[in-house]
Amino acid sequence: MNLRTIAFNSLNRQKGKRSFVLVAMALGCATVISLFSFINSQKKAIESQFDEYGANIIILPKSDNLGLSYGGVDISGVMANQKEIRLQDVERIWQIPNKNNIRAVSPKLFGASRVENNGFQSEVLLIGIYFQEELRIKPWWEIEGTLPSGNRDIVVGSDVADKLQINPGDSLTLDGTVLNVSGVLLPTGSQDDSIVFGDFDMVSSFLGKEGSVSMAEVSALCSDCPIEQITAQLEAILPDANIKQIRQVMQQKMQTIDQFERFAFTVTSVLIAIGAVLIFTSMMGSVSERKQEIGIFRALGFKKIHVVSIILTESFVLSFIAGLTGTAAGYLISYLALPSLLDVESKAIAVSPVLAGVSLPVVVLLGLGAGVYPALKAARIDPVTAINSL
Amino acid sequence: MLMQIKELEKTYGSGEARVRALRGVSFTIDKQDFVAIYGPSGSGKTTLLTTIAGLNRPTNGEAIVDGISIYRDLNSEGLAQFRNEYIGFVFQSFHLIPYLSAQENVMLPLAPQKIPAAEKRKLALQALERVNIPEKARSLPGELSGGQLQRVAIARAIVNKPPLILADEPTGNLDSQTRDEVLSLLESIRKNGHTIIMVTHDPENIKLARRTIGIQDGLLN
Repeated sequence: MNLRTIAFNSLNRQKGKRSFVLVAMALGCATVISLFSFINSQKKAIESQFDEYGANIIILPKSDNLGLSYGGVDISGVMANQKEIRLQDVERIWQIPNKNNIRAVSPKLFGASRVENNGFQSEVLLIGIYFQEELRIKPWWEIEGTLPSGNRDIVVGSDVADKLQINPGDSLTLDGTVLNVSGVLLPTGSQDDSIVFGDFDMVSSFLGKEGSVSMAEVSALCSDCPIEQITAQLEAILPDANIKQIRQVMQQKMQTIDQFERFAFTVTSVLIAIGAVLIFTSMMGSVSERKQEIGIFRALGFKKIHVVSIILTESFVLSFIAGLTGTAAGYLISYLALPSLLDVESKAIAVSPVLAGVSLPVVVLLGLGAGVYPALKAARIDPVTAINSL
Repeated sequence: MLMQIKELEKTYGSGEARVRALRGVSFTIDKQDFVAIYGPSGSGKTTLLTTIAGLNRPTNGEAIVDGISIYRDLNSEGLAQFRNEYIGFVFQSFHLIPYLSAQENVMLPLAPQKIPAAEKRKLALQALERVNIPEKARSLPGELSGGQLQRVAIARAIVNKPPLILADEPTGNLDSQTRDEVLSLLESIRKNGHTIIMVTHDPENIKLARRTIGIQDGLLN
C-alpha cells in the first residue's frame, strides 16, 4: 500500500466514469493522428506529382532576347548582348549549399538544322542533351526504339518522325550529315514532339559550340524545397545567367494542403482544449465525490503533497492510457481506413513519426496539467469539515 | 505525562452566529491512561477531540504532546506528520475506504511512509490479529459487520503504534454486545502501551475508562 496503490484502486473503482473520459481522450488523440496522417499522405502524393512534373528552375544566358520560347520560357531567338553559359558553370550547380535539394540538372544546347529525308526538307530545332539527365527531369518520356548509344545516333520527336516518315533504325540527313535515328519520342503534347535530340557532346561538336550551353533545366521540386533560396544561390554562382522559376499548378495545390494543415492545427487545439476540460471536469467531480475520503486521508496524517500526488497519479494514469490507446487507434485508422477513404495503397499513407512520438507525451502533459487545480483543491480540503459531514 | 491541555478556547463564526465551543479547557493526560470525555451532544467534546488531534486549530490556548506545543511549533504539514506518528483515530462511522480491503485500510497510515510493501502488509496483518479478525484481511468494508468494521478501524489506528488513540463515539453504531467487545478491545490496547481518549455521550461507555472528564457548553465539569 502506497500512494500509487490508492490512486490505482480509486481509478479501478470508478471504471465506468473514467472509461468515458478515457475513450473521449483516446478518440481525440486518434483523430489528430489520423488528420495529420491524411495531410502527410496528401503532401506525399503532391511531392510525388512534383517529382513527375519536371524542372522548376530554368537557367538561361543573360541577354536582350526576342522571340522563341521553350516550355513557357523565352529562349533567345534573336539575341543581343548575350552572355554565355559554359558547361563547367552548369557543373558548379552541384556545389551550392542546397545541393541535396537538387534532383537533376539537364544542360541543353540549341541549334537550327536543315533536315532532309525522302525528298522532304525542313528547318528543325536540334537540341543536345544528356539523355539520362533529361529522362530524370522528364520521366514521362517514352521512346520507341533505343536511346542513342553512338556519336551519330539521334532521337526525333513524333511530329518530326511523322512528317519525315521516319522509324527507329532509319537514317536522317542533318545539314548534309547522315545520322542514325535510334529512337522516336512518342507524342508528349509539348514542343519536344517537333525537335531532334542528340547527345550533348555530339551536338556541341556538330554545331561547333563545344562547351557552350543554351539553357539548363533544374529539377529541385519537393514540398519543403527552399526554392527561393536555391534560386538565390544559383544567381550567386552564375552571375551571367538568368535564373527563372517555373510556377507550377502543384504549388497551388500545396498551398491548399498548407491551409488544410493550418485547419488541422486549429482542430487539434480545439480537441486539446476539450480533452483538458474533460480531464479537469472528471477530476473535479472525483475530488468533490471523494471529499470525505480525502478528509480521512488528511486526518490519518497524509500531507497535502500526498493528496496532490494521488490525484495527479490518477490524471497521469488516465491520460497515459488514453494517449497510448489513442495513438494506437490513430495508427490503425491511418493504415486501415485512410487507404480506402483516399483510394490509395496503405504504403502511401504517411504517419508522421514526430507526431507519433509527441502525441503520448502531449496527452500525458495535458492530463497532468488539467489535474493540477483539482489536486490542489483536494489538498485544501479541511479534514474536520469533511469528516463531520459523514 | 503524555499530554497537557492549557486554556483551550475555540470559537466558531462571528457576531450573532458566534459559538464558543471550548471555553478555556485545561487538563493533563498520562501515558497509558484511558480517559473518557463525557458530555451531551453539542457540549464541545468532538471539538476538543479534533483540537487534541491537531486537526482543529484553537482560538486560544495550547495542546502540548510529548513536550511539543503542536499548534505553536508545527505548521500544517508538521501537524499532518504529528497525526501520522502520534495519533490513531477511531470514528463512530468507522471511516473506512470502501474500495480498499480490510488489510489495505489498515495499511493507510503507513502509505505515506517509506517502508517496504511487504513490511507494511506484515504490520497490517499483525494489527488485524490484535483485533482478532486476520481472516477478514481481504474483505472489503461492504462485506463486514458493524463490529468487524470497528475492529478494522481500531487495527488501522494502532498499525503504526501511535502513543495516543482518539476514539470519537466508537460504539455509537454498535449493538450492546459488540459495544462491550470494542470497549474491551480498547482496554487491551491500552494495556499494550497506548493512551486512549474516548469521546462519548453514552454512560455505558465510561465503565472501562480509568478517568472521566465531563464537558458541557465548552466547559469541563
